[in-house]
Amino acid sequence: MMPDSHTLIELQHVTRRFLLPQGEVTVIENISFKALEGEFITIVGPSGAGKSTLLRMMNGLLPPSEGMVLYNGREQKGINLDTAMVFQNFGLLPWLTVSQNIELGLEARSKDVVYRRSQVNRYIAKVGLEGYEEAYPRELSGGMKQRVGLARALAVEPSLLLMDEPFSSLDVLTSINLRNELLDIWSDRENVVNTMIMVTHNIEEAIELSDRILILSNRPGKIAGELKIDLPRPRRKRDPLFSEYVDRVFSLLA
Amino acid sequence: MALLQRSVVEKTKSSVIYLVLFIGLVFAVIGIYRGGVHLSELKAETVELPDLPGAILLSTLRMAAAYFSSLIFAFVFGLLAARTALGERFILPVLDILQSVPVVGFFPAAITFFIGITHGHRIGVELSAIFLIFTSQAWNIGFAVYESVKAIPIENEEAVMSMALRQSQRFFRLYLPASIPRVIYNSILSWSNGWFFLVACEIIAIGPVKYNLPGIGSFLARAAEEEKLELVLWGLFALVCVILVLDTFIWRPLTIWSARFKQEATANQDEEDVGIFLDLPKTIASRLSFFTEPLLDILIAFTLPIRWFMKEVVFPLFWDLPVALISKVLQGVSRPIQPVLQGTQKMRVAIGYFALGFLVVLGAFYVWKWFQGPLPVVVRELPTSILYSTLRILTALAVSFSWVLPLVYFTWNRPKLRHALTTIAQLGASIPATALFPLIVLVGIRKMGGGMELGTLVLLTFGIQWYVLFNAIGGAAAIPSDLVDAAKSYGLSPFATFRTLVFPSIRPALITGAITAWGGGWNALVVSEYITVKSEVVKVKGLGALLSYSVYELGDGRSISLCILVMVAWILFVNLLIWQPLYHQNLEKFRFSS
Repeated sequence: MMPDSHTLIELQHVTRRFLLPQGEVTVIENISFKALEGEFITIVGPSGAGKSTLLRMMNGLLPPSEGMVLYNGREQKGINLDTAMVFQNFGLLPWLTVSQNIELGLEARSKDVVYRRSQVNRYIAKVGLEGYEEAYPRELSGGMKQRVGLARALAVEPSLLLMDEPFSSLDVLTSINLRNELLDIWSDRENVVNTMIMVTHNIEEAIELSDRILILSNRPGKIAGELKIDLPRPRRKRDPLFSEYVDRVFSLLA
Repeated sequence: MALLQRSVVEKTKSSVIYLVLFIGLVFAVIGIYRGGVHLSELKAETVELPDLPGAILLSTLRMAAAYFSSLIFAFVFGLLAARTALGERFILPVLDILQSVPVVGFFPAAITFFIGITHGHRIGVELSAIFLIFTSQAWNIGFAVYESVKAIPIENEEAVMSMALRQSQRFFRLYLPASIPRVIYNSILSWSNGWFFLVACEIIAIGPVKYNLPGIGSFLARAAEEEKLELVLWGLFALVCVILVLDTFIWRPLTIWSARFKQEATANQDEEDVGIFLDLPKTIASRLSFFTEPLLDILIAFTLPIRWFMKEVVFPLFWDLPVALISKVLQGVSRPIQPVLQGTQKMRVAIGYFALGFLVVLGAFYVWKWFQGPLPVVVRELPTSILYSTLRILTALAVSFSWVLPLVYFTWNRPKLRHALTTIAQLGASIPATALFPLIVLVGIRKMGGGMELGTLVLLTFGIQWYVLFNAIGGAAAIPSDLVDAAKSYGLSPFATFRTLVFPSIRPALITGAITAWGGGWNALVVSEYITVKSEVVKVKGLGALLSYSVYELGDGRSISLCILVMVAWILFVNLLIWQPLYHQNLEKFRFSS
């Protein structure tokens, strides 16, 4: 985190309800928090705590039922084009090639062809997908698919990267690799994106990656606690301090 | 428990919607037939062999026109149904009702209507034929769009949404490609459905109505009327050729191409059951790709400026802008009335029931006024007609089952034989049953003197047996192989295996087949119960004949409305109260949990 960083996104008393056939259900209740520029925040909590809902409100996919989301100090309405999402099951369109999938977000932003092509190539190289430009998602392994998902999000050069359990559908080795690459991207100051918010249910992953962990309680989701991780990177699970953090997260979750 | 309650509530709601829609149909039918039907006559022409190519061409053009209108309809209403709450609640039941309406019954109405608005021009007859084919194609494709859009994985849609693509971009990137596989699959069904109705309405048009609608159907009918057997056979041969050519060079390649739009690469189960001759385009395409690929590239290069213009100018201007404006206006309107709309749940229900009661009373009054005075003579014959027609369809179903089941018994575990059977069945099913009617009438009734009752039954069986066959074969092909292995390992006899494994497995599919056949059967009935040969009417007792009689001999609007409404009500009644519960019960019981 940079010392002079300002608040990038802020949630003020955000509540989100859904109208289900059995009645109205409150998924998120009165949550307020700030994310500073340059921070890596993870949100953990039991399933059904509304982690993904929270993330979708930051992107603008869902409007809050009450309260508001401020981005750079201004109320956010509709999709925030300064953010990009990475999905648990990748959200890749099966009929588009790797390049076309990555290009999709740029197309929405009406960028010209030359710029689009150069961005696509740049980020294909960055996530290590060279040679797969013309492949279709179904021809790729899970890890490669998530690389496409990541490249697609990075290619629009968002200020805030939102990730919804990006490593949950990957095998252990793949996710370790991808986690390290993500940290590289985050700490690389050349990149536009240096603020990341990630939802996960893997506590060790949260401690390994983030500056700050936000712990949600279940139904309706409220903030049960917040934990700053003051460990130097790279962090190692064998480190006794690391296990201490794990215990503290567990105690906050219980 | 909550789920159970909910489903009961949902069911009541949906049956209320069905009731409302049926009342709407009552209004529509009575409205259409208020003035009776006015049919003028054209002198009959004799047919010769040289008329055949023109007839085939005209019929195919009619089909294409109807098909493209169906596609547009399907995408508009399928998307609305899938992506708006109101659409889901109303468009789906509307499609469902329209699917069970025997459209052939509306042909006289359609002719009257379109000739009315075109001031008696021939184009009116054309339009009504195209409209009739449209009604046989559109609903099915609409369901395909609806189901495909519904089946888009939520994350894929969110991914597209989170990038804030324009409306038109969203359509071309997400909804259109996602719909392609099912739309093409259902289009093939729709297309053969279309042939059935095309031939039917051409026959009707030159039958008692005497409208000139040159095409393959009227060619066959005229040839039969003139007792020119060789012309009938030539016509059938030409029709089958056209159907096979279209299937081989359009639908097959499209199906293969559409596989890339499937959400997930699943095991190619349906590919296994593709008949032999349908594999042809693959081999031909691979031979031709040497020529076609560069040619295609050149063509694509030529379309580049057009595509750019469409993408950057036409769509933003004529699609995204209006959509954005309309949604802005709707938002502006809905915001102030939002609290009123939300209201209390009880208020809304009360208002709903009040409106429904009002509609029912209004409908009853309307019907009462319409049928005031002496009732049409057909009323007395209605109950027995329904009975006879229903018995006829059930007999045809029984006949179909009696040859399909043994066939499944012998083929279900012999893939090669099944493959061959599928090929033959595809060939057989590609001939629209209505095209066989003139032949059966000519040979079966006139020459062999089999009697009209038998003739009708044969026609009907030809019309519905494929539904049963294809569903049965499909169901048998879907039996999990581990269950087959288990049956083998326990040494069950072939018959015991069939009884304990195969029959229960294909039961839901058989019921689906029966439901489809029931719906399709009524359409076939309208054409097959009442036939004119050389201005001499041959008919049997039944609802279809009664309808034709009302149209062609009485020309009485009230009798026609009555027949159509009774038929629709009866079809819906049997669907909702017998077939649907049977289907769901079987599905619960015999589903393979996976």
